[in-house]
Amino acid sequence: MFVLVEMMDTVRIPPWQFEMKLNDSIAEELNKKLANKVVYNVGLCICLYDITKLEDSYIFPGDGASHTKVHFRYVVFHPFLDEILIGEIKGCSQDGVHVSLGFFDDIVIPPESLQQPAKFDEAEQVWVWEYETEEGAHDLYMDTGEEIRFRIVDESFVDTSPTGPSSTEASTSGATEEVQKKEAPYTLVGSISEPGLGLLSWWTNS
Amino acid sequence: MGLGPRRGPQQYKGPRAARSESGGPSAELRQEAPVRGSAGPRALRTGAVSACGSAGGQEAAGGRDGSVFQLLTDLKQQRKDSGKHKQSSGQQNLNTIMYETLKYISKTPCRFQSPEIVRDFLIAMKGHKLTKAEKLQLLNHRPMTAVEIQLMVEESEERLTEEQIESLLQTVSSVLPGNPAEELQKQATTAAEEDDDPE
Repeated sequence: MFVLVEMMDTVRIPPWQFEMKLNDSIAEELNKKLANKVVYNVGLCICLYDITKLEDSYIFPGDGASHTKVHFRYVVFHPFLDEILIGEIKGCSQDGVHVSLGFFDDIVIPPESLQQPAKFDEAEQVWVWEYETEEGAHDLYMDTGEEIRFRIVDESFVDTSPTGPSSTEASTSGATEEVQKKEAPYTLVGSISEPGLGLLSWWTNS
Repeated sequence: MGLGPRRGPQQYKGPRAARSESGGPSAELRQEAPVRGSAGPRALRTGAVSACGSAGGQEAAGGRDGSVFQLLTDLKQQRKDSGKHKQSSGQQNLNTIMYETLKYISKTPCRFQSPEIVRDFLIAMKGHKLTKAEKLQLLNHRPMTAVEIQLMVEESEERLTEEQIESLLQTVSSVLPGNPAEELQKQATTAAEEDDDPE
């Protein structure tokens, strides 16, 4: 679920950090910039792994800070397709079951990928697997907080970087729109439509 | 057969350039293709894996959860040692992700793994003809039932016989430490004795 990603960046170290060792202050800056952020098409950044190469540092006219080109490796959360993960159910809605890993929340299992036949219990707002046995159907509820094992079937990145003022209109209404469509930059789509997938409690005692 | 994982992690080689969400100056990114991991001087696995790399090029694709656990624990300790650091004020993001990720991995069997254990595991897996992605998942999940193996191993019905699945389970539970709970372990052993009839 985690991968190492080689990256390169130019790091600016302000003069008041010159008392620290260069490597330490660069590590601080890189973690400040990337930790807990999603990089487009790369994944969710966790923490710096190591610095592989430091190039020369430069001081530019008019700025007392030093700029250093750094090659480094970062630990990134990016499960591969078809990987099996275990998470916790965060909630259910018409769109499916929402799953959280704690450090990553944007996982959804759409209704068609649930164990079939499935139905949405409107009263309790929870998805139910109508598991059939010889004695009749059992309703297996997918309650919030339960541990769930699922397969990654799709991923999507949304470019959430700010765009310039696109149109001249909508100055006040634009602000409210902005709040509404605060999209997740990185979404995973899961599936539990196979034997062994779903709540852990469904499969422990056979 | 099966050494080219059709749905392995190398599908992610794609992106070459990317932007950080913060909208900062674009960092040029090159995603390390996990398959080539062994070529790196130190991939996301500590010393022992380079040893297995030479032993047969067998290493798990991508990062083991266990090694990330190790890294984060070290980092946390390191930050604690350096005391109430002048910088730590600006590091809420790092602290959050560190805490949450550690919390998640602590619940998995990976927290008990060490490079030595991983090496032993990969050597034990050599005879099973599994892909790197499959071995990685076995490491991360430490499966205890046949149905879990069937999930993690692609086309397991064709590639593995029942006996092979049984011996895989045996190897996994004997080489990898860390039962999620003692009770679960007891259940699993009795279940394994009773046979692997997963529903």
